[in-house]
Amino acid sequence: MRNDLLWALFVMFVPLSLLSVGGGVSIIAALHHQTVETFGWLTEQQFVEVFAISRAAPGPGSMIVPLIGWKVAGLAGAAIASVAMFLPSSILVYGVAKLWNRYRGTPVHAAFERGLAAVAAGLILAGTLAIFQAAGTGWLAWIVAGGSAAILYWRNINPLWLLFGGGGLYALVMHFMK
Amino acid sequence: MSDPIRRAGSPTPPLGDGDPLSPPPGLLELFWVFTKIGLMSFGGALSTWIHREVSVNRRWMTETEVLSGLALAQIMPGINVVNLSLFVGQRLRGVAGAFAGAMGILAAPSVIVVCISLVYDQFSHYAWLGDLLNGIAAAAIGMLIHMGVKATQRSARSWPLLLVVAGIFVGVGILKLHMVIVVALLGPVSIWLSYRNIMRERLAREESGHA
Repeated sequence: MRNDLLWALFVMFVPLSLLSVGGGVSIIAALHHQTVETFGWLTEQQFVEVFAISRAAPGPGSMIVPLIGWKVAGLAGAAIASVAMFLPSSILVYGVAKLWNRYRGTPVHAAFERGLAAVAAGLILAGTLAIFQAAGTGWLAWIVAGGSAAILYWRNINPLWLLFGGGGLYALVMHFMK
Repeated sequence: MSDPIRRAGSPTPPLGDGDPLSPPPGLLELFWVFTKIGLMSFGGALSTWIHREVSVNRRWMTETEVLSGLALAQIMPGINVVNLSLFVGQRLRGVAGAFAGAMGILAAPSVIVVCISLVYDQFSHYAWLGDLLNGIAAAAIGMLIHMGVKATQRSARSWPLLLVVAGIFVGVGILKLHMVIVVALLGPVSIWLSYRNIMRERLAREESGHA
């Protein structure tokens, strides 16, 4: 049973690893779909918690990966999820890094750069929608999300202020509403 | 020697192409530098820190080389920051260096995120803590909206490319099709469209050059 879980984690993350153009955010829609809807490992609320904790923690934006592994199957789960997510893409990058400079400045190189940027944009938007639906769309969440997007659009501030400012405001308003 | 945050404001310019480099670091030093970068950055500016640390503070690689690595890290699958750490590690110390860089950026933050989750589980019966987390999630969603809008503005250079962005959003986000299928179908289309645009731009430039 436990080995089945580890295997399922592995099989879920390997393809995501090889297709995650655009980084950690681009796999959120797929992660939500699989962990909540397909496998039922996490509830909607748990997924939102995992997402929030991973965004507020230090490090790359991909810390949701070991955290999901941990929630599903403990320490071994965290290790397997990390290996399955980070190793395949790393091997690919390691190989391509050697070829990279040879093709610099060619149209093919530029086409890959531009073409995959559009793919990444679509995946980021899809991830945003998935997590928004999971979080539920209370009016307060709308205000905090819209406010933080607007602030970032016009001002370049430290995301940590935004996260804990938004979190604090939300908790405060909820407290006085009860 | 010192932490990247404190030295970030140092006026030293990044290394140019002909400037002398420092000798490559040992594996442990490489691991430690990337661990510090991983622990000190929140919400994404890690690539900037790596660039600054590697080509300004420690003079291990030239700026051109780091930026070319960053472009590679962004278009390849995988987490951009992990890819960049790998690239830098590989250039400096080969396979072992790549491993040291990637482990440095991942190991400590992974442990910390699990610890935060454990602490949260202990106190999750406090309603305000759940509210705080929901608020953090909402603010983080706002950051993603901003990221998505910026990425779309930058990448949707023609209406067919805008259709690609929309197609991926609808396919993965609304229809909830498998991401693997959607990217495998629309990725090549997007690259082909971009290739066509680039060739057209070239042709236009050449023609205006002859006129």
